[in-house]
Amino acid sequence: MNRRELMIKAFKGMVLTGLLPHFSSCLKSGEEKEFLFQLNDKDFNYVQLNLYGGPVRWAFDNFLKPLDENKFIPTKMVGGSFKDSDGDVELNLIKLFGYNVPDFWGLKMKSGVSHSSMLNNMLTIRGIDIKVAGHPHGIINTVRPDSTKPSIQGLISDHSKSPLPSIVFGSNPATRSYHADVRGGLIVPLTEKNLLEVILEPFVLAEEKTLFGRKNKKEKVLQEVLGNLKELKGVDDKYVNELYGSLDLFIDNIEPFLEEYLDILSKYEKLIKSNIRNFDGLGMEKLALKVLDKKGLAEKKTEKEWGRYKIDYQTYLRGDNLEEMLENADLGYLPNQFACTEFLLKRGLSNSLMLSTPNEMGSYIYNCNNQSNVLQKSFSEGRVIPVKDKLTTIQMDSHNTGTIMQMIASFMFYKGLVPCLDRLKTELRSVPVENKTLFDKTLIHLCSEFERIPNDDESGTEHNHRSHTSSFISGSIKKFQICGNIRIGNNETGTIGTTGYVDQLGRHAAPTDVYQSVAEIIGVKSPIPRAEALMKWDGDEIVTNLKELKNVEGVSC
Amino acid sequence: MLRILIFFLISFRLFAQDYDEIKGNVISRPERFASRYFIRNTLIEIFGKEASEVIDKNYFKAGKQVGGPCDIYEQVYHDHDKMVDPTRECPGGKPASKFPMFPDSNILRSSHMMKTCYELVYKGPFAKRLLREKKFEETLSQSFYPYGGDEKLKGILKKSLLSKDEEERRKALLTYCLSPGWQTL
Repeated sequence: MNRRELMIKAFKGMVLTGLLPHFSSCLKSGEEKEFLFQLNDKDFNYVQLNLYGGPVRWAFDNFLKPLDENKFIPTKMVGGSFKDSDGDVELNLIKLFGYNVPDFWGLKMKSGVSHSSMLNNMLTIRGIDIKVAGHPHGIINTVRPDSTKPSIQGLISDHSKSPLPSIVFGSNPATRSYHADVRGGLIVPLTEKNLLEVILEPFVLAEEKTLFGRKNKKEKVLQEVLGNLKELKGVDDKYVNELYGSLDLFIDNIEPFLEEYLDILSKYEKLIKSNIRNFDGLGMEKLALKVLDKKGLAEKKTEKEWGRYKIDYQTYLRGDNLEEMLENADLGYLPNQFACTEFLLKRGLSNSLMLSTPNEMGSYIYNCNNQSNVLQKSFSEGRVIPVKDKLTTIQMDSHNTGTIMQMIASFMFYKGLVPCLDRLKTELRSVPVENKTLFDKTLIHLCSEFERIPNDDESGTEHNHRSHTSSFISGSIKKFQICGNIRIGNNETGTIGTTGYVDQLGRHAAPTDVYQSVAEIIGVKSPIPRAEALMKWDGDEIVTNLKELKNVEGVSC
Repeated sequence: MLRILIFFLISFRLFAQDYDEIKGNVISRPERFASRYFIRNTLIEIFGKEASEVIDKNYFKAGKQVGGPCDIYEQVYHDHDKMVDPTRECPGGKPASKFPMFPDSNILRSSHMMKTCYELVYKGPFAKRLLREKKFEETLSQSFYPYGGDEKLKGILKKSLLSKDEEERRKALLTYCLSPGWQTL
């Protein structure tokens, strides 16, 4: 047998035994570009999870009575679980790490890990006064409180050495508020089928297999061409340096990265699926809802009687088949964004990210089945008809979402969110950076534009633009901290988290203070004057600068 | 009177010197890149209409990064659903009308530019005509810099521009395509 015959036989053998792909990947492995960038030692990752739509967070991280001495007046709709068959709710608190927190934090994820494990690395600033009404203005004030300066994401991106500038997911006023002076940014609509493909696609030189291979001929050509341009424009030219940066990012083949991304995505999807339909702790078993039929709904005279059954404008929960309605519910675009965030952070491609909602209508849950679950009341004609259109989401902007559906939808959302955060934390923790981990060098910021005010008839909630909560999660936050003052309210509105006067500041806490705080932690000079950093570095630990945590006298709205 | 005038002139000069020291006596202006419409049209003129697919796919569609808002009032349809000029269409709706008029230089714009030029020069038949030109140097210069401004570039690329070797010429063409001079306003 000559050498040629031997090679042909070996090839056939590999095809038959399925070893060929492994063999070819072995050959390629030496040539593939690593596509992994170290976080610059002066850089810090910043991830803003922007829940645009203003969801209720009373049972999550808007802590209303953290200390025993904080006076708290309970009110309708402010709760974390159902307390009776009618759907009344209550806020049960448990003591964790020295603070009273909603009992949600005592629940466990499907993995067996307690939600409270997240609190170890969390710092919450409550009672921030957004001052302006309406979603767009509220979120602009949060993301870019000074319209003449870059948004917080843009500021970080401008000072960063990461290969890519800020990446902003979603399409809403939060994403449109993004502004950078120097490096631009990439806004990725969530309607795109594959988020990572949109980000990496500009860096793929398709069908050019040898570009970064051993022969490396084309890279040599490109290096030579850029050398000419460097000679033309000088070594400090921004455009030429950006071309060199692009060359670092070019890859021959996007497929392995998309495969990796899809693998991560499926893990987040499974995580959400296995957690959101676990209703332990919500008290759903206590519910014995009235079944609203056409006659029943038409007979009822006021929203006081059926307001809490509302799920959207003019549509009502029928009350006898909740499970069927929630059967296929999911968290929409959340897993895609978490998967992309994990990929980008672990590979060091960008250090400034915003996760957000697909449009102006941020939703807790998507894909609710409503074929036979809801009834619609036509106010103009006094008729009641079953809804035929497919209702797909339960909105965060819950003006018309009554107590029952709001409680269930927000519970499901946070039950899905915490495991995603937990996975991201674990993954970042597995990446060493000098003598720390990537989680220590990352600040995750949970925020929305404002909190909410419950309606008297429990048919929904209105905007509370005088209340904003920002929670931060990082490996450098080494103990659970809560700060900021809120008002106690009165017997009419109760305690709902409205901003309280802060003696230390001589005013209410403002969104500019949050901007300043993030800039302080990231190590970037904030361009906004007359604002106080509410967080600071104490050695290698992030601690709050705001020493007050009071419920002060004053009405809630 | 004369004393006052001399005093005024001296103090004015001193003030101007101070100002020079603070501000620097060279006026600098940041480079302003042209919008995607200008880049697209120029590259089509140079590489031919057949190249429009490569340009649109790799450069034009990234309007947010490469600049050039669409004009929603300029859309003209024929046969009800076909645009007279599809590049004037606002893909994705209204947001495309808010793309920046002049893009900031950023790594994404640079990568789009590099990918486009690379594909035009090294893939497909788009560069063939240019590479075969007898007066290669002159054609290249006239195509990218019809009003001059490429003298220094010509000096740097002298060897490649005068060469008959296709690979050398490709390098020169790619350098011209990527050079910022013709892309800026």
